[in-house]
Amino acid sequence: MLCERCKQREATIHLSQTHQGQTVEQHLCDVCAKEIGLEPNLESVFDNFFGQSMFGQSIFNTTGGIPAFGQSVPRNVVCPTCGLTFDEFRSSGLLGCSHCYEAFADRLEPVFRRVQGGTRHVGHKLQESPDLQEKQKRLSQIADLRKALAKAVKDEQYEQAAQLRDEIRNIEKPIEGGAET
Amino acid sequence: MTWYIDKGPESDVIVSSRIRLARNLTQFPFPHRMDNQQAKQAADEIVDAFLNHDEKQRHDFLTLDLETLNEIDRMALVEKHLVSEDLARVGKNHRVIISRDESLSIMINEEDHIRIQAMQAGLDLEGAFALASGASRQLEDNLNIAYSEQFGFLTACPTNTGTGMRASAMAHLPGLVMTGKIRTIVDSLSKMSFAVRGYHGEGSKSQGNVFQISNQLTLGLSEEDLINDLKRMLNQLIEQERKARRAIYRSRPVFVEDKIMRSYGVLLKARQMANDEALNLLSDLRLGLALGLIHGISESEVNRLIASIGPASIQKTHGQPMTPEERDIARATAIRNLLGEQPAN
Ligand SMILES: [Zn+2]
Ligand SMILES: [Zn+2]
Repeated sequence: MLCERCKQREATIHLSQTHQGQTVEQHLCDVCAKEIGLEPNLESVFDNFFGQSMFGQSIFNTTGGIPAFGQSVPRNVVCPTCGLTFDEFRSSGLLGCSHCYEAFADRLEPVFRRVQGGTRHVGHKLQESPDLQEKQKRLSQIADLRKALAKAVKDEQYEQAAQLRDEIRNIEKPIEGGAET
Repeated sequence: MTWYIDKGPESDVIVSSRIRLARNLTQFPFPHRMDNQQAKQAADEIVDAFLNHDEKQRHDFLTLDLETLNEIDRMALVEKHLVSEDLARVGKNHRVIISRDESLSIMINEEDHIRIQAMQAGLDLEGAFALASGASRQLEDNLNIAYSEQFGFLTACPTNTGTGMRASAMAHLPGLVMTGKIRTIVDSLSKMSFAVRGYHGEGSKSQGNVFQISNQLTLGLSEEDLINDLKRMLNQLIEQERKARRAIYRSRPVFVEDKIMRSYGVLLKARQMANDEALNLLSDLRLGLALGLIHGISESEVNRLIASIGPASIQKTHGQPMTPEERDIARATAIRNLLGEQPAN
């Protein structure tokens, strides 16, 4: 029997789930099972203690004669930046933001291994623009100086405040005029 | 250089070459997860980054807001391959920056924030790549582009991650279609990880024997390697196509001449013509040119004609919406005008 997910490899994991009287069967290869988080490892055995009662009776065994591990509830990783879950990615095929790549890095590797020519970028690198880096550095400098300025004014250190104001003005000028080069 | 005006290398088989680069901004979610506000902000930043740093650039490029265009104008852009069908659909702040010579377009807020697209006539992937990466560098200089050391350029779909590059060529393959070899070739191409699609890309059927062939992989190989692999394969394909044309003409000369001349006759005389029919007849005409059976018209003129007779383009030229019948009449007239017969009325 072929794996119903990739339709390429032999199915080695047969899963049947009964939920509210309905039995759903799934036949997967180990690669796909691993990708969707149905890996028979210690962690999933542990998950199983909590997962089983929520999802009803389940049988999870491998054809290789390895003892059943029970159903594993995949831990659903969430991207902290955009809130997309790995499950949502799996069903839509689209990531939520560029930070999802860090959040799902481990789980994306097998995806790339399957659909891509490798798991590492070897092409052109991002142009590290000196202009942009310089600009950002100056912007953060200004933010620091502004904080110091506010503190100086609050502490009634007017001479120091005037000095800080000049410094800010000096840094700000090249940013405004920086577009023309 | 405009793909449908100029004559490029290997133009007897390769109509045009295209490079598409996908790029995204770090500070916004990908377009399918953006709200209107974010979509507008991202679009403003991208347009500003590309146009407002260079006086000449502002003059050479045009920015269009897809939402403000009517259906005809939007579809006319699709027919010229300047925007994708997805971008032409209603969406949040879909915009496009187009070079005046129409060789470069930057789609904004499609599946990725930025999709740079460069087209050249004939087989010229390097030329298209130089154009596209020049535009990319300019954007990289002025924007926070999403990139990681491990995965390269980060895109909404993992099938674009890495180089973010899709290199493709439009190949006219009547010889391989007629000899029935196309099936095996398409099959073996997909096994070699190239994608083959019809004239308008993604999922569409081949029209007029034109196929779009592109790289499928984007991660784990460099841009140069991907382009060279595609080019090497295309050169073989070009030879196969030429061989098939010669073989079928040698073995069945009357059949081939009859097919081409019948089509030529219909193109010259018809008073009403649907777009599909036109594309198929023009495919025969193109084959006739390559075999030296028809003279007095160039391949680039045929390309220009095809780019101007799509349902939307023909209405755009006309200046107002037309019924399908009116379009078919205008299309037949445009074809007759180009091929030399006097207009009907
Ligand atoms: Zn599988
Ligand atoms: Zn995210």
